This record gives sequence, structure tokens and C-alpha cells, in this order.
Amino acid sequence: MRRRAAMTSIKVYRDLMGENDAWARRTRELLAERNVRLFNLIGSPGSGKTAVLERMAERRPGRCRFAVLEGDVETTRDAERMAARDIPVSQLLTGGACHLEAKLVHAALREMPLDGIRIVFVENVGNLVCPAEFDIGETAKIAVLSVTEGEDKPAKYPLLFREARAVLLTKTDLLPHLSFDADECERFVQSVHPGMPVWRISARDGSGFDEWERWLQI
Amino acid sequence: MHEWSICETLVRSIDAELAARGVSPGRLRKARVVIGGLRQIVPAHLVSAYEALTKNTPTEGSAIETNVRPVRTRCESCGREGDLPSAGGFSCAACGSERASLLGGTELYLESLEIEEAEGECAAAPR
Repeated sequence: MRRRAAMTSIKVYRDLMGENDAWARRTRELLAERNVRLFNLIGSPGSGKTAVLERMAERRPGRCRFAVLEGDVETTRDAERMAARDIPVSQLLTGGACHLEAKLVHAALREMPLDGIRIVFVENVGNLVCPAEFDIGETAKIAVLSVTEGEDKPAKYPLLFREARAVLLTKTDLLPHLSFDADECERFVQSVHPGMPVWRISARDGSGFDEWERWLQI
Repeated sequence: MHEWSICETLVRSIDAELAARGVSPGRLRKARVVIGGLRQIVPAHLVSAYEALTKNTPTEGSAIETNVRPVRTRCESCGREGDLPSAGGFSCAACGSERASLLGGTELYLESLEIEEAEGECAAAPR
């Protein structure tokens, strides 16, 4: 009778986010040295992330103290929109990856001229799932949700809404044309992350940007 | 989708741990992975990615076993600990408060490797 091979179990306990998190730590060190904060904007494609940044630049022509790291699968179109408003910008192309990771972000930040910059916004790849999994060394994740999406998105994507420190509820100028209930959406946010601020804004008419920017301390 | 990227890290980690211990990769039978309950990782996708990534490599034929851990919570009002339900928000079973601290939930680690013992080795020394 053949004996079955004996097995040995080796305990390893190796953190699979270890490499990513080491790069995130290096980014935090770099940001601390330069006294710069980093906000990671995460939202569906079309949620209005780029438009928010354009409106913020328009509110301070010639005195834009923030820079942008654009994350996209393909094209430099979003970076071109930033450059058209004189926003310092770098483009990261993932070529297929659905999220940004810390190593890529760190490399891009090292190349960015940060003199006079107080905040860097990372516009993550349009996606509510994967970007929430990765710490890229941010000061805070910001969840971006538009009124053209469902009120219950916070319940459907709990990791992002638990990890984020604020929600931008965008395109509020469209509310008169929609059956979207913004108060119901806020209730979903609070059920997943009690106490999280929700800033209702419109990049089209500028409403809500005073309060959002006050929270941001920009 | 991000399971692929995570699996690439997993495969590199397994190769490194085997090499560090002088274990031939062909002896690997199973790798156990712990996934925190808040992670949006589909175990079946991780398994598929592992099969694809280890094809035509020395660890081809080995398997991964995933263990998804429930998320422990502590009620901020009364201190009661419990498991977070998979759907919906938190509501304390003892006092009804909706505020909780999460005790973990985002862990993701390679816990152990199951290795076939080499020819001629014994699991225990004979008396």
C-alpha cells in the first residue's frame, strides 16, 4: 500500500498589502516634508470628479494652490482639461488596471513640482470598488457620488463609504429633473458611516463649494 | 478585477517565503489566505487568478484556500462586541446604538503554506 505523502504546515503571516502600504508610508513622509495634503477622489465614471476640480480652479484664477494627479485607463483628456485651467497636473495611465496603487502614485509625486502647492488631488480611476482597497498614502479618501446615481450606493459600496472621510454629492443642479432624494441618500451614508459630512455641490452653478472648501481648508 | 493584482503579490510572496526557507516550490500543496470581511475580494476570482498565474511555473498544481473573517465591531455606546452583518448598517443588539468601532476587517495576509514532506523525511522521529 502506498503511503500518502506527509504534510507540514508552515506559519507565514505575510501581509499582502505590505508592499503597497510601504509605498503609502513613503508618500506620507514625502507629503509631511513638503507640508502638502493629498486627497484621493473616488467615484464612478461620470460622477463629476474632473468637473469639481475645474470649478475649484475657476474660483481662484491665477492663485491655484492645488495640483492634480489624474488616474485613467486610457487618454490624457482629463489632464488636458486641468492644464487648460492652469492647474498643475500629471497623468497616470494604468493601461487596464482598474485602480491606482501606492507605488505608482509615489513615483508620480516625486516628479511633481510641489513648490507653492498646499493640496494634491488624486483623481482615481472611475470605479467605486477597487480604488477603495488601496491605501495610496492619502490624507483622506473622498467619495464622489452624483445625484444621477442611486441613493443606496453607500449601502452597495460599504468599503469606500466606511473608508472615506467626506462625501461629495455632485450635480445638485439636476435635482429638479430627478426623483433622487438627497436626504435619503444622506441617511444611507450615515447608516454606513455615522457622522460623515456630505457636501451637496454643483460644479455647474458653484453651489456648495464654499462649505466644501471650508472643510477642506484650502 | 483587482484580485489579479493582489494575486500577483500573493504569488511573489509565496515564492519568496519558500525560497527563504529553502523549500522547493514543487513541494507546495496549498497556501492559506485570510481575507477580512470588509475586503471586496471574491475568493473564486482569486483562485482563478492563482491558477492562471502559476501555470507553467514550479508551483503549478498547488491550490489556495481562502478564509473570509467576519468583521468584529465594538458598540461606541455600551462597549458590546459582535459581528457586523454582511448587509445594512450597524445596530447594536444590546442598546440599539448605530455607532460602532470596527475591530479589523481589512486584513489580507498569507497565513500558512502546506508543504509535502521531502522523500526520506519522517513526520516524527521513531521511538
